Amino acid sequence: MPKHIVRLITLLVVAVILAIVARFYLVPHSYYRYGNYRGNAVAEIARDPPLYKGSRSCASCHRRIFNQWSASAHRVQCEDCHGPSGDHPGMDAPPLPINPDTHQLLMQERYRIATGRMQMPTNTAHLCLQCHASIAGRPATQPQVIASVHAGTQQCAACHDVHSPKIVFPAVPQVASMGSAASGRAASAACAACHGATGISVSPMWPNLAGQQRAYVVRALESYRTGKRKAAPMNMMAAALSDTQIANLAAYFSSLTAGRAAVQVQARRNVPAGVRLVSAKACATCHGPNGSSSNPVVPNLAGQKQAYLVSALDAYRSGSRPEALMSRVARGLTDGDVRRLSLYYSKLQCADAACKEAR
Amino acid sequence: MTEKTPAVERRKVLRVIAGAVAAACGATALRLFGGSAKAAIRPADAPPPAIPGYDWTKHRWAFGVDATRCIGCLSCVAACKNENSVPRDTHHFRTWVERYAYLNGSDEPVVDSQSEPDALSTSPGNPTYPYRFPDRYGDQVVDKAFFVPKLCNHCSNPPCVQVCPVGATFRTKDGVVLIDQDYCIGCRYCVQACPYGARTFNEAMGVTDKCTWCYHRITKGLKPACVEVCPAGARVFGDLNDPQSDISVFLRENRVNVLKPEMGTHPNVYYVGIDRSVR
Repeated sequence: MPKHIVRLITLLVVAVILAIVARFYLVPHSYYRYGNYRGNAVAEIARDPPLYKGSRSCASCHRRIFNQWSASAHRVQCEDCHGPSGDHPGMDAPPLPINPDTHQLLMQERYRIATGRMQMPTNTAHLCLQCHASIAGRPATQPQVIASVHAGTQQCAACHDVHSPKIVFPAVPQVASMGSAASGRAASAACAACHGATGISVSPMWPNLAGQQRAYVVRALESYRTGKRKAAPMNMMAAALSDTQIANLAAYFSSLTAGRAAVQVQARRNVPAGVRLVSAKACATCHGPNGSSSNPVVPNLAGQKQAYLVSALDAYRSGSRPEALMSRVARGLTDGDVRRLSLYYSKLQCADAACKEAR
Repeated sequence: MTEKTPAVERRKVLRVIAGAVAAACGATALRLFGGSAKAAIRPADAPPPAIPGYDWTKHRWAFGVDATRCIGCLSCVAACKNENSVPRDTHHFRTWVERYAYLNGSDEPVVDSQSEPDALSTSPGNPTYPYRFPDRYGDQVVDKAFFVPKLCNHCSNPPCVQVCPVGATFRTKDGVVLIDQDYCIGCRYCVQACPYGARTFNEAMGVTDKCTWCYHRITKGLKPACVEVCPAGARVFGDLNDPQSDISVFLRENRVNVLKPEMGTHPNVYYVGIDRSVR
């Protein structure tokens, strides 16, 4: 073989050997262990410490709050509002003190030493509205509010306990502008022509007002006054009212109980289609299981005039009565649904004591 | 004299180099064909990755999303970003939530997603909830609207893994598609290849980022962060090998769908309650 060919082949062989050696050192040894990737990467990725520990991990120290939360319907997790626990309560924190005299001091010290501090949210409204603001897309089963209508600028925590937010309503602090029922009575002469002297309306087209929720009456009159809600006579009547007069009228009508007798003379009638609908459309979430709402801004429906309920639902459906949540609910109703629901609520009696109390 | 000495020294130097290279080759050959090296490069009998208390051959993870339950609170997005140090802007997400809204009798939905910055209002002052969906359809008639949580589908046949030129992304034996960020060269082929838009490029680190189903959590017996914090129970995660796990129950009790089944990717995220328009 000619000398130059031998040299060429030798060079080639050396180059190949060098390539193999270089590859051996450059490719990580775990590379083909499980496939065409670096096998060690799997354990490296799995090594990161978790940041969120889950609500259960809070229970060992914060037992009282944890029990209160887990007994409530609130399913939002601790770390949703308080932030990830991370290193909380801190790896180098001393063991829990057992001496009750020194407990407080030690807890402060422990807290100071703890590397991870939890958030104590001050703007609770911001947190609550993350889930409870009424926006398009939220399922109807999720309790939702329009903050400006529901609470104005008040923080949610003013009425609700954030850990178990369901309210027992008599405990709610009364707002300042309660209005005076006596002054409202004097001003109600003009209303009586249509809505009746006892708040039981003279025409099936006009709503009963006796025992209606106070805040709802205020809201209704305000939206008539601004023209947001349209009904020719009511717009005209409400235009002349001041805020104080509205508050007085609302106080008066909500205090009326004469209506209850009229409601109760209605024969008890079972409306099974209505019962099914009420549960399917989640009406009771806001309007209460007996058509007697537990929220002051949501109207009572039990014993309301059927024709009025039909026209109200139609107005929500067509959008002529603008109210985001009700429009959404009402658009899911057929003509038949509207008839059955209004019949159901108009025939509903105040059966239990709580309902009677509310009316 | 001065001309001769360097020539001899050069030859010496070359000889020493050749000897060293030959010795290295010999050593390499020994290791290459020696017993221990052989085992290390043969996938079949390789020991599982060194994760304490965890054997990846015993699990088969899957994810379920019940879109009918999602309330669009974006707790999951916030938790994911915290847990995985995802950049806190509106362009980088490992998981995100889309809102589909049918307006004014239209057949085609308007989709609010992370790709449209207006769709998410941000409140930078709030570290817990940096994002929220605005109520942006005030005057319009919303015929139907719903939220769809999205994340990497951890496909059984992942196109992103196929296109990676350096083997920096792969599917583990327990069914999770991961990225070896030490090995990623930042070419972004995988970002383009993913039919679900589940991968984002982290410009600061120069590597691609994606959902790992919180691999560092699930290998320690925890749930992924988004599942842990979901207040509505819209996200379900578990082991298909365990018939009583959340996901096994979810798949038994629901009629599920996957996204873009026509792509042949065989996703492992199963959806309930999504519309025909959800892709």
